[in-house]
Amino acid sequence: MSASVRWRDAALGGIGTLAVLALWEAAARWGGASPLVFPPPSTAVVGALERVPGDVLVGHVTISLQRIVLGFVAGATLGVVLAVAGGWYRILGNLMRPIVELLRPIPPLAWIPMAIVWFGLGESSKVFVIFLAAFFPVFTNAWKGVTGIDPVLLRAGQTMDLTGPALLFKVALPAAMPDIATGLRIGWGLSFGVLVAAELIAADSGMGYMIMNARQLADVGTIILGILMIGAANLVTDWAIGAVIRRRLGTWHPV
Amino acid sequence: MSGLTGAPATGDAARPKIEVVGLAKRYADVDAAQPAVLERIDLTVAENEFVSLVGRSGCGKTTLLNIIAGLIAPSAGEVRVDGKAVTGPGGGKGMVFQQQALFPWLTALQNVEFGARTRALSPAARRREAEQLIDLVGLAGYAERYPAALSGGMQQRVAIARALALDPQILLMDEPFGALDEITRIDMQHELLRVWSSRRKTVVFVTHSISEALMLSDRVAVMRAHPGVIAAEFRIDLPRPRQRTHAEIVALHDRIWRHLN
Ligand SMILES: Nc1ncnc2c1ncn2[C@@H]1O[C@H](COP(=O)(O)OP(=O)(O)O)[C@@H](O)[C@H]1O
Ligand SMILES: [Mg+2]
Repeated sequence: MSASVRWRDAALGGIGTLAVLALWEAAARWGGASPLVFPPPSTAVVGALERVPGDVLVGHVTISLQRIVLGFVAGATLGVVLAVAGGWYRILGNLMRPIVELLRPIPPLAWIPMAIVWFGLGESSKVFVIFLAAFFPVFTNAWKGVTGIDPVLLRAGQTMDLTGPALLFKVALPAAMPDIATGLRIGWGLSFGVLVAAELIAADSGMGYMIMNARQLADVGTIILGILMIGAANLVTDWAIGAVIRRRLGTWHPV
Repeated sequence: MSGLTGAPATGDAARPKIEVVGLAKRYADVDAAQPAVLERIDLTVAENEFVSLVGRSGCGKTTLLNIIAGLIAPSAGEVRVDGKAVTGPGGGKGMVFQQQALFPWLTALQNVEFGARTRALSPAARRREAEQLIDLVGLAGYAERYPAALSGGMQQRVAIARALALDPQILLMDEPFGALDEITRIDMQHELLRVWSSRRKTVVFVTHSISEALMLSDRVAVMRAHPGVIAAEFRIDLPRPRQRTHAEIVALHDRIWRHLN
């Protein structure tokens, strides 16, 4: 996809978003609902920004991103390493596959009680849940990438005197990169969703906490602002990851 | 160039480069009641000789070539190169695969350079060698393209350049032009002969096209299926480039055709 087409698509997306916001605004203003329950987005956001100081907002975003980055980096790293090792070395693969398959369908949120028991209410419990959310999609996609390589590429490598780890690093890993990248992107998105849920339950900071706290104060404006912030933070970071992937892989692989 | 005329090319032609002795192959996961994929294959290829294997699809040509390459193990018999048993791939046996086998994450030039990676060359010399090979296969100007941005014929040329970059003594080619249209195919045949004449190699060339085998080879081995055997061999003592309409070519075409049916 060329840059100009991407900009055009982005512009269309912007128009669509503005249209929804405008509809919401109109419905809230002239629909007769109480502004305490269903405020127009402009009033909600402006009001919330007046009540919540800017440095507090920045603090919530920062701590949320910090948790997500820690958990994601740990989960994604382990996911790639284990999947590549297990996908490449049959014995390792047979060892890890059943336990991974057993744990994979469990939603990361179901681990929250366990995380609290193990790690208390501190940072570690949130990071652990995010770690789980990132690990499984990264593992699954990297596994698919390493085990799904066209055998002729490996054979070609072998005729060029590559064996063992050299074949893994020079042929298998680059060939699996598109799948690994897909896994990273899915893992990032899931980490985000799980982060907010974890903060809703057990935190005194972060965007999820901000929303939960606002609910107790019946501050609908801040809830709306929090939701929009989460969406925007995910959108921006996902776009950045996508841009990095396009730069690295876009030259040879359609992304 | 003298290499273009007559076969075999060197005075030392009798020296066997590749010997396939009593070779048989049965894939392990296949019903034992089925006939073997290959049975009692004996084939000797002299140094610098160009030998073609022709046969119908499924008669075991790729299997035989993969065994010669050392990529898969035979069930019985052995392959010897320079008198030594082949135990694995690598070690100066270049291969051009039937399917697209370039590394898609490398440019054409990088793919060819990759082929030269085991040679004792400085990075600069390796780059120069790769550029020369890209020129040799007529792809100057396409060196920086990724495989996805090359036509099938161009990809096959890069694959040939990559195999040549190993500077192999043996070049194994599995229907390298099978996916090409007739016109590109004939161009590529000429180019292959040109390359072969400038860089002498022992070539085993798999094709299902009788006329392609006749245009290129010193010798044609005809394979038959179920079980895969070499049914006959034909020597072609004609200078290259050859005319498709040459009486001897036409007669050989006929005889090979009858062996295939
Ligand atoms: N990995 C494999 N496992 C089982 N059977 C195979 C395998 N590869 C090839 N065969 C079978 O062996 C026979 C010969 O295949 P192949 O060597 O590819 O023939 P060709 O290259 O002449 O078309 C075919 O019947 C094919 O189905
Ligand atoms: Mg074949």
